[in-house]
Amino acid sequence: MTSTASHGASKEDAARAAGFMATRAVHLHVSRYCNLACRHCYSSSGPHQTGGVDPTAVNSALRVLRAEGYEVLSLSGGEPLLFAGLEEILREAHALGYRINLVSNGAPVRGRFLEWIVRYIQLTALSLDGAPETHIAVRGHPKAFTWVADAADRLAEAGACFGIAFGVSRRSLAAMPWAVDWAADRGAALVQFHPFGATGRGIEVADELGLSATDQARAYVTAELLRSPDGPTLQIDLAPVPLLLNGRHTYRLLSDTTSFTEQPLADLVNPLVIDEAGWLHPMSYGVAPPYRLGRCDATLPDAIASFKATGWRSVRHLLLRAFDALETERPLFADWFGHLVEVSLQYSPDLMASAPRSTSGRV
Amino acid sequence: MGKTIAKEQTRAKGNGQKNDPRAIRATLARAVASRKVSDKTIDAVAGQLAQFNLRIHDLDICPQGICGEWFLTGSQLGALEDLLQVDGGLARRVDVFPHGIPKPELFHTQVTYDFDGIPRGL
Repeated sequence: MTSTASHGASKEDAARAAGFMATRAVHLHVSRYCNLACRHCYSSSGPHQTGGVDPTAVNSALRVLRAEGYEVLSLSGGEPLLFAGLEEILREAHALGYRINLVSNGAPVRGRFLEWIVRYIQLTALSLDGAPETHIAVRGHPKAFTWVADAADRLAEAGACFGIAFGVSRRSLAAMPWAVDWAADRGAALVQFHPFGATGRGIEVADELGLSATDQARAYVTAELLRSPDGPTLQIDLAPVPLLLNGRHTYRLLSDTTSFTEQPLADLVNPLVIDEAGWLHPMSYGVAPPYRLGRCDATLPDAIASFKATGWRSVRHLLLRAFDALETERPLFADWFGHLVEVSLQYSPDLMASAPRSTSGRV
Repeated sequence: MGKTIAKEQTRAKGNGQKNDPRAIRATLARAVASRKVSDKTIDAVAGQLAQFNLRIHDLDICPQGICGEWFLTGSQLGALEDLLQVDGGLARRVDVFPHGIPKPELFHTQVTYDFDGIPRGL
């Protein structure tokens, strides 16, 4: 989370901040269809998944959300390049002025998909789960590593900005230095280290891939040691807990204010997640359904108004519980957005009973 | 950080990478990531990094051992006390001086350690 985090920022940056993100982003999970069925997939995506968002409805939502202050669109899935409605969404998002990022497993990065990347995408992140043998084992396909390597070469040749999204697990931890060298050799601009999270299909392999607290500390120290002004930008989605606790003021929902009707949604909920069924969730994929803000359809403007009027209380409640849990448990490091999911799943039943709810666009 | 790292550093120097900061960092990173550094040491180092949000500015091997350089802002100067108490090592010298940019609360801090298993003059 370091490169997106604003908790250690200057006063000016802190004034602009909206939570622990430097930019206001919409994370769009277009579909759960994927050519791979990775053993650890947080969204349980795979070749047998069907459906996905309605591109027309998403484009309408993106117009609304652009006016609400969002400036970045991050696309993932499933494999987003294989979603039939992707070009329609890319074209509209680009026209609306979003900076667009995309996460891919690399397999489809060729032909017209590569042309879309060059035309519309600011940063393509290629998923990598370890050195070749580990990556292949986790991804469950013998060509999985070749696809990533070929995609990196094609992106570099096309002059497209790309990075590596490296999944740090018990099996891949030792390969972090290798990953930085590998990425640098191919001209990657970014290496993002993301710790394994036991969500989705990952629950089934948590014993094999999960990181202990000391493993997380190793990952953090390793990333610190690997930072170099000459190499790719390094980001690790683990933050020191004291830093998170000191940065809670960046969440405007935790201020003394009780009226948010005049504030853009992006100042209050960042990132905003749209799942493959079109539901809008606060801050992280997998946050429990009771925290949904609404969905991508004609009711979205009313749902946003309702959230600003009263619905914000439930998300504030979630944030307070998440910070309280860190204060109580005091781990050294935390994956903040993964932590939010865990807290939401743990506490949603009593939240349903106690927190004021709005009804528009909600379930 | 221990004997294993000392061996790794010796190997790095044998490859003609004497005191190249990037080689030192990469060697240490490999040792940490591949679990050649003890859990106890990692927890101690990570605890310091986490508590004060320290950024490792530079690492170097000098005649006195390993030098770690950190940037500390005003609110982080409390970290100095912790930096002086390194498990398994002896803080030999601390230099704190203005870094030369017009921010009076920003200091460049250099802490020099001796570690068991890493002979001086390595």
